[in-house]
Amino acid sequence: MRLPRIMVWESDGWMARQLRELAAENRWLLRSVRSARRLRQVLNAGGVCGVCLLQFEPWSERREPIELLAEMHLRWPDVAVVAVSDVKLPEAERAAWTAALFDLGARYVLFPPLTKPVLEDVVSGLMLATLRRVIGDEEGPGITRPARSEPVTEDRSTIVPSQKKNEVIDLAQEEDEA
Amino acid sequence: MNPHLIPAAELPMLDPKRCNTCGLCVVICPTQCLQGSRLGPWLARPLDCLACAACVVVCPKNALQMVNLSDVEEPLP
Repeated sequence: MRLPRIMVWESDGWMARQLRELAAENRWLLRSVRSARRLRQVLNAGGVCGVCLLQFEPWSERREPIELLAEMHLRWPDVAVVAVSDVKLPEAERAAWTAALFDLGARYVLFPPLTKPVLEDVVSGLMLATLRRVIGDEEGPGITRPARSEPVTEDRSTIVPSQKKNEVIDLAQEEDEA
Repeated sequence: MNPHLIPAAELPMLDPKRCNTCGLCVVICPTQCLQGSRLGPWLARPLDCLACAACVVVCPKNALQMVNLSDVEEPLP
């Protein structure tokens, strides 16, 4: 039986907490694991499809997440992997890491700032892709986002900058008025 | 822990080699957590599964069995 899940391998449980509502809304299983051994156990249990978020540390000696990413791409192709780092890097290094992880099989690579709407947007898109791949129906059931969260893909053109931000405060004038 | 995220202790697992895609399990499921797909039945809404095992009982090919997933699961932080 194919079993849709959101799996998260991270050290502190932050990402899993951000995705709780999305998983509950769509009645998917959400599992947070702390070790590669546990993640492999879950995947080996059989029938797993869905989304997996892997936390990785660029330039770290700990290469396990990256090795697992490559292994998952080969052994469990039904699982879309998102590589997530909470380390801020210069733009060139981010681009290099993103390219390398794409080559290894990551669907998305996320760097800070990481926010709940960003995570929900990425994961809900991959959940929908999983449904379409399994059911094979373009007009199948959709993915519901939690009511309180707003998508990040809002129309930025409608946002009007505040006038106050552009105002120049004339300190000399304020002193005269005083 | 959020009660909406606690799955049943056991969930149905399919042996695809035995399944003849008759769809009886999908029809019998009281919570409609099972759905048909081009690859046979699948557990589309696992958190809605009550582990009633009606799908296991109705399967004419014994392709379904309840599997305890607790040995590989960890609770959410």
